[in-house]
Amino acid sequence: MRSISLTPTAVRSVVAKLGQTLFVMIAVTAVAFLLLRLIPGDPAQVMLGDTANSEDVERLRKTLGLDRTLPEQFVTYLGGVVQGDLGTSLRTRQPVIDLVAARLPPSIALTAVALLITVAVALPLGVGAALHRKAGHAFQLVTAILIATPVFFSGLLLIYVFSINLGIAPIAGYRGGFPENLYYLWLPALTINLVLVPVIARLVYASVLRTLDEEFVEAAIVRGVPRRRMLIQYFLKPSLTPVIAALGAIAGGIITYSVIIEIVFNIPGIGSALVEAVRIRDYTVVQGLVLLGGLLVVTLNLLADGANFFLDPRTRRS
Amino acid sequence: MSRRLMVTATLAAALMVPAVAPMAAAQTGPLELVRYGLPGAVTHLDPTLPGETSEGSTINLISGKLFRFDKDGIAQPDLVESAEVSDDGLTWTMTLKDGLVYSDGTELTVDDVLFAWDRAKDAPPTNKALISNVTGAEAVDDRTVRWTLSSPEPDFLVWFARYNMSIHPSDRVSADPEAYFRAPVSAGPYKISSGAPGDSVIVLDENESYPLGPMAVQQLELSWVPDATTRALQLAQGELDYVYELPAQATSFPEEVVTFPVFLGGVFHLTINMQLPDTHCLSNRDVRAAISLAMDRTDINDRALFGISPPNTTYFYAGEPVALDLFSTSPQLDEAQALLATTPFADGCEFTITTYGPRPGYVDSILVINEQLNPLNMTVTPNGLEVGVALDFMANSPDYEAGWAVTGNPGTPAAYLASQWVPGNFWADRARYDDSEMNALFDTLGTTTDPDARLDLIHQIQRHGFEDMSIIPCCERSLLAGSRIGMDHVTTYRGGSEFIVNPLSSMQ
Repeated sequence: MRSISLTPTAVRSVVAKLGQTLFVMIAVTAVAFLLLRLIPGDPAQVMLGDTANSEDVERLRKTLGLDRTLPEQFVTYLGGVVQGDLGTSLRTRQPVIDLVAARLPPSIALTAVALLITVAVALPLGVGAALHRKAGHAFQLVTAILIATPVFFSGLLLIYVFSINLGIAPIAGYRGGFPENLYYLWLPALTINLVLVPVIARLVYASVLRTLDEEFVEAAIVRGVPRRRMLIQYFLKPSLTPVIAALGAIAGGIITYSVIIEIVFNIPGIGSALVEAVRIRDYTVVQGLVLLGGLLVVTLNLLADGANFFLDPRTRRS
Repeated sequence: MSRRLMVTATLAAALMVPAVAPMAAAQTGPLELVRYGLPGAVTHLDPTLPGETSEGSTINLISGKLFRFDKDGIAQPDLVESAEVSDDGLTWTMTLKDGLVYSDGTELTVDDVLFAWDRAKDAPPTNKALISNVTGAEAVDDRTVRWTLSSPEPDFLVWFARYNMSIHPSDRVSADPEAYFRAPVSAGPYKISSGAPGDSVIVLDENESYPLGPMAVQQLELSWVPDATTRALQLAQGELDYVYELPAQATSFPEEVVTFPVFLGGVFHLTINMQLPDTHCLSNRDVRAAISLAMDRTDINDRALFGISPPNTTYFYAGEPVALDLFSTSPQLDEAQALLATTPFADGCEFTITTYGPRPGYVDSILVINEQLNPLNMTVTPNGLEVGVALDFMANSPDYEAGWAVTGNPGTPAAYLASQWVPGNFWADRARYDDSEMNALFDTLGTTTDPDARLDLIHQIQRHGFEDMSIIPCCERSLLAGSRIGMDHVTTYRGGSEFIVNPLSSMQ
């Protein structure tokens, strides 16, 4: 196995990436904080509803610390974040970290199942479509239709088919613990995959088509490289670079779809927590979830860059 | 495909699948299990934190309460054996039943009652009007508590039926309220057997220690199902037995399911900004009256509100005995045109009505009102906003002209009217309403204890409100619920949004 050494240039690159990450996290925190407070709607008023009088609202605002100036609030919040404290929910007083800990497992489970199906289906589908040109047009048409179909619509359609007509999936709900949770997750995961698989399959398809035109592929064909090794070493592996590079965007897409899927299928994950927190203007919960979401995307991008560095010699040389 | 068509088509398809659980509509005995679908999560169980229907209902079920609302919305004695008021109305004395214990067998004491009082009286959840006159609360003996007031409050007991005044062990709550309220004990009809706040399913078992049991349902499985279509599908398929808040346009269910409107003790209404300049048509009282005359409230209910919000003729929700009939359900277009002709705005005008855009029927109502006002040469434009944004717009925007929304129910007729006409209260502030005569009426009401005199004042307030016409009521505030188990075991009490479980004795 070849050894991969880290040159000073590579080390500087890594440090620069980490610095960028820190800057991005601070910016995400600040933007989330500011945008929330620019959205019309007083959290105290929203929480108390229309039977509250103005005194009640003011009292709650003071209790929640919302009567302080924005800079004061931000400094307090940022100080907490640096120490690992994401604050407490304005509504329930529960530490945001505890809420995340409770709601993260279903989201992780859903994402994991969705990603597994995606990898298992999208990669061979993209490669197959690229290698069998005659199927290319049909492939592009079908994937375009699937990508354009709104997730909530396809979710309801799948519920109609699999839950109502076939009775092989629950309409909604989630019970924790593996493997029982798979019964509740497979249909929501399939719904996400109806969008995710076409997206990734098209990336793989386009990437494989480009790879097929490379000289090293032609040389391998001439040398008579075995088919299986050709597929994996010469088609798939070099074609994965753009897919891995798009992992951050894909992660953002999964998070977005998960929000909708968790509502439709009633999965008590991070997505539904975020929607609920925005609805009731629970600033600290929204800020905390946005911060963690940003951290996730940034981390995935870093991992993607790292994976490409090790997988693709072209990346190392550049 | 529109969402409404999709919902109808999906539910119609559900009819083709045999229902799983037959409805026990005529059953008067206890039900073993009811699976209840809630639109919101039970995010906490602390009665001193702000909450919605899910929290309020659950807290009531798992808490000791001095009084508890019955299905008619009347506060009935629960843990109290007696409640007496002095002749001058300034002293309330309540005696607890003997031998009260929590679900773990520990004793419920007057200290717990006073502790709950101390926490609740200063906590954020709302409307302290009923207890604003309280000057002190003390234990008289080991079962009796006395409250002293600076001035009488005839509806004082209603406060103790609200979820905010819920009784739990004082020592455990004071030690660590957050930890305690994740797994509380109960002196109410139910106790938590599995699940915790934030979970999508919480299971409640009947509490054998509750003195007014047994209950009509032995076990409640509360499921948080945020999507209305999903709730409807689960009810149709038999995965849920009772659903609070179905999509109002969902009418096709298997015959085992009965759907019915739940009246929440409020009213759809138009609120007018009373601080508009004189050049604005809505600043003219006769214009507002003409609008009211031209409105076809039945038509609004039928076409925009799915037929589940009957028109009403008063400022109150249906069944409130102090309500005065001041409005008509049928449009009086000729009278409206004649009245408008006497104003500087006989040629009509344009204005915008702001409302909660996402809520079904709200924007549609404004579109129907626009059609109804066209013969008066009026053009109405809906301004549908997200709820939080709408609340802010109505309160603070100089562009706010009129709003279409629903009144809540703070619990008593006086408080209900105050919310509409006393500055500092929600709808009065949205209308920028501040009238000295109205303020005087409410001040007098606050110190009047004689029932006949109070009734007369409440009538005067309604008439004065009608004269000012800052608020134009339309229709009952309601939502659609569905049940496979009939409407007797579990119900929503009249005038409220929280659900209750009836004692078995009330079924027989």
